[in-house]
Amino acid sequence: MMRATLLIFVGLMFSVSKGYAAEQTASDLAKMMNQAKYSEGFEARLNVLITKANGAHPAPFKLAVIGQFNAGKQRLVIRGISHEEVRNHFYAAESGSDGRVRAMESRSQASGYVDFDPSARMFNSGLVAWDMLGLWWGWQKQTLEGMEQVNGRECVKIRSVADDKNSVVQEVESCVDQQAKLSLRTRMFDHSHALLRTTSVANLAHKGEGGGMMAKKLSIKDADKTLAEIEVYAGDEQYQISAETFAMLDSPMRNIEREAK
Amino acid sequence: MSTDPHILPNNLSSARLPILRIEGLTLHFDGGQTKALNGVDLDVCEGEFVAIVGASGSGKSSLLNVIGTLDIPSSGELFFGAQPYSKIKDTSLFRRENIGFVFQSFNLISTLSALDNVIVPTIGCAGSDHEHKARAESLLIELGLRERMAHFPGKLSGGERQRVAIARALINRPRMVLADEPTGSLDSDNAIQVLDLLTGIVKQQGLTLVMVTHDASVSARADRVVRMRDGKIALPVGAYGDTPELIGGAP
Amino acid sequence: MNLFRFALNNLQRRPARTSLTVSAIALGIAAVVALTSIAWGFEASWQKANDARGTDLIVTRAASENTMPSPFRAEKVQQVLAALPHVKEVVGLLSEMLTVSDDAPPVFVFGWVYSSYLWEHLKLVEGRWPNASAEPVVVIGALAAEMLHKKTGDQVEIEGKSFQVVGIFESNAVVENGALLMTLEQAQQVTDKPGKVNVLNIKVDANTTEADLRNIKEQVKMTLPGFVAITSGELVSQNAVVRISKAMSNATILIAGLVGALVVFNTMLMSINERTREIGILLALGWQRGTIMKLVISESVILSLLGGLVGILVGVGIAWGLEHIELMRGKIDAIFSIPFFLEVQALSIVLGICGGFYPAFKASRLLPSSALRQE
Repeated sequence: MMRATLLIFVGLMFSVSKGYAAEQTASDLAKMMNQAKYSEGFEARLNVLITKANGAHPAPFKLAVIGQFNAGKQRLVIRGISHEEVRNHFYAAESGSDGRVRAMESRSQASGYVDFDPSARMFNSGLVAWDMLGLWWGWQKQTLEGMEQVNGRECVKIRSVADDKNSVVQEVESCVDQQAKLSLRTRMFDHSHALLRTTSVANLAHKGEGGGMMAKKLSIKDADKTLAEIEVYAGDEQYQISAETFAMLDSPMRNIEREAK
Repeated sequence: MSTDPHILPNNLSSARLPILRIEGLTLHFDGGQTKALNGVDLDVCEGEFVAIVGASGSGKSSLLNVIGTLDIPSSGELFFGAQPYSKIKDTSLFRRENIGFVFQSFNLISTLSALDNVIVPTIGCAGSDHEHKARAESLLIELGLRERMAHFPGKLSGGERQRVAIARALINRPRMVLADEPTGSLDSDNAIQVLDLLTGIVKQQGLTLVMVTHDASVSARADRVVRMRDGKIALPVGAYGDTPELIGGAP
Repeated sequence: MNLFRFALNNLQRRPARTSLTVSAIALGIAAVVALTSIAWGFEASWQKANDARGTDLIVTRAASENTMPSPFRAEKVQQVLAALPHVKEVVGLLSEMLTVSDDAPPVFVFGWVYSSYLWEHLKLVEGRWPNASAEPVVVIGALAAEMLHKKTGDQVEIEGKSFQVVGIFESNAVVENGALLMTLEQAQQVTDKPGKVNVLNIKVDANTTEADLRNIKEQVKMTLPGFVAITSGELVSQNAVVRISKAMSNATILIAGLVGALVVFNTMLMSINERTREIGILLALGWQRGTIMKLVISESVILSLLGGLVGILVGVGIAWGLEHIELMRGKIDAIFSIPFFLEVQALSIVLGICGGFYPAFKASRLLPSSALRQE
């Protein structure tokens, strides 16, 4: 009995150390995470429940997030579905290969588009377009900081430091479940090392194809203690991007503004 | 009436073989520290009524237990007819077929009626429930309990309880009845009645009866009285100068 | 008087302990009955929905581990399928579980190809069916109507878009009764999945044999990589919720079995310890060791059988109660059957035997002389 237990124990140790040996370097991991984002089109519909610092709950609302991510370009459209207040409230964001992020907002179809700070909160919640683009996986400086457990799952802690000194977020600390190719907890810090937001994944679901997993339930806790609990209730991993999908970003008005800058 | 264990009583034919033969029997407990039986030799003939007397702790009950296969002897041998005890494979079966027990404290099951208590030993035996019940009823009737069959032990007098126990001992038609102070818990009237019924039924069916008793009036009715002392059969009463009333006092 | 009656009598001697033991077993069995009947009911209800639709084969994306098969563009797949031998009709279906009211749990929203055979098995109880594929209206199941407090003529908001309820229907599948139904075109629009379906339903012609069906499945596997053709039963058994509920019911069976056996074990061990002297008497009276074992095991089995019976009743009650609470309405449809109850009783007998075995063995090994000396 003793011997059997011992053998199992040694076997476990061995498999763990083997797993560790096969592990990538920090930049490999970041590269893997960057590629995991790639999609020719996806849609996720979210149910968002906000809890304010004082405990108040505004009415929950539904959003659709549509994105297209590839090595050259990352684009997002975030659309309010319901209730009435968020309906037809659009945000769009993109980042090109230069790493610059642009975002815009449209309150209604009639009112047209205005520039929007990609680091600002959308829908008065912890949702931030900059976070959704996951740009830090492309940053130069990445360091591994060992293993940790988040919600009972093993993950590797990795710290990404911004290349651009002017970026609002200067440091991102993620804890990546390598099998799921998903960060279970992401913390954003500003230039003074103050914590801006923490995103935690509470529940995972298998992706339809290509392995990996996606977050089914997650929460974003802001520095001001506002909590956004997000549930992905529907989605399409092969969303058909049409000409209109990112029309907002491609609009001539947008281009004029850009040239003017 | 003789009290010599090795001399058969006058009223029995000396040609008859003993149903029970005990040779050099010892029974030790606690790894030999306690010697309950210390070399017992005894023959009991078929149909004989043997009373075993002796002081407390003299080994009477131990002897009864070994005869009843409830205890395994440390050494020596017993024969039931021609069969040595050491060769009995299934002692439960042996008890069921040959031995009927009557205890001092009745040992009836309080939640079963008198009739059911008598039937209990037949559970797991051949024969139908109906047959067992019929036999139990006839035994209880014979023991004068016709009206008390459906009663629970709590509603029966001591004498009645012991009569139920006797019926229970006889239900499987044993060849030998072992009774451990069957009248010990009864007043004298009841004791006489129970004893009359027991000896009567045993005689009538030609059964052998080995009874441990303290009561001189009981032992006086035995065909033979065997005295035990310190785990052995004592020599004939006279030789030890025992008080005659122990074996005397017969009516 | 026989062994069974004697065993029963022994249990009656300690009514409090016996009823406590029976209750403990009954609770476990009740959990098993409730969960298992719900798990099976869930499966059967989906099966019923598919069967009632007259669907012979279902084509979905392979490796769908989520609740719903992931959506895909129907057009090309549909063309390939329609060309296969014996295939009579290929009809797309899109389904999503959505919240349509703040004070009701999420419901299924189904989009079915307008005027396809899928609609034929439904019974309209009120109003009308959609008049055109492009008409932005819904018909709702009778149960959904009740849960959402909607009637014909009301508006219902689905994903931020308003639809008029034009009819109420009934189906013999509880999944459909609790659902909202619109044309596929409308469903694709409202869920932003133009041209997409979760499932393609295939109806084959009358003279199709089992072998032909197998052949179609094989063809799909070869010509449409990433897709599988399965029967509705296979789809249902692959469904994550069905799998989880089945796994939960299996886990419950295991836990309840273990707890039940332990309870019986404890009770019987206590009981034989109290009855040592009596067992000694029985042995002295010529009871064989086997008979003692039979007695103790009979007592355990009577306990567990009683627990099983009570548990079945309580479990049916729990399942019935769950079916009728608001949160679960239209989602579960517990299924009971005589063979199922017999299996549950068999389970309780097994746990009785398991729990009673050691105490029985211990009792049968007692030395009669020392047992008799015990007070």
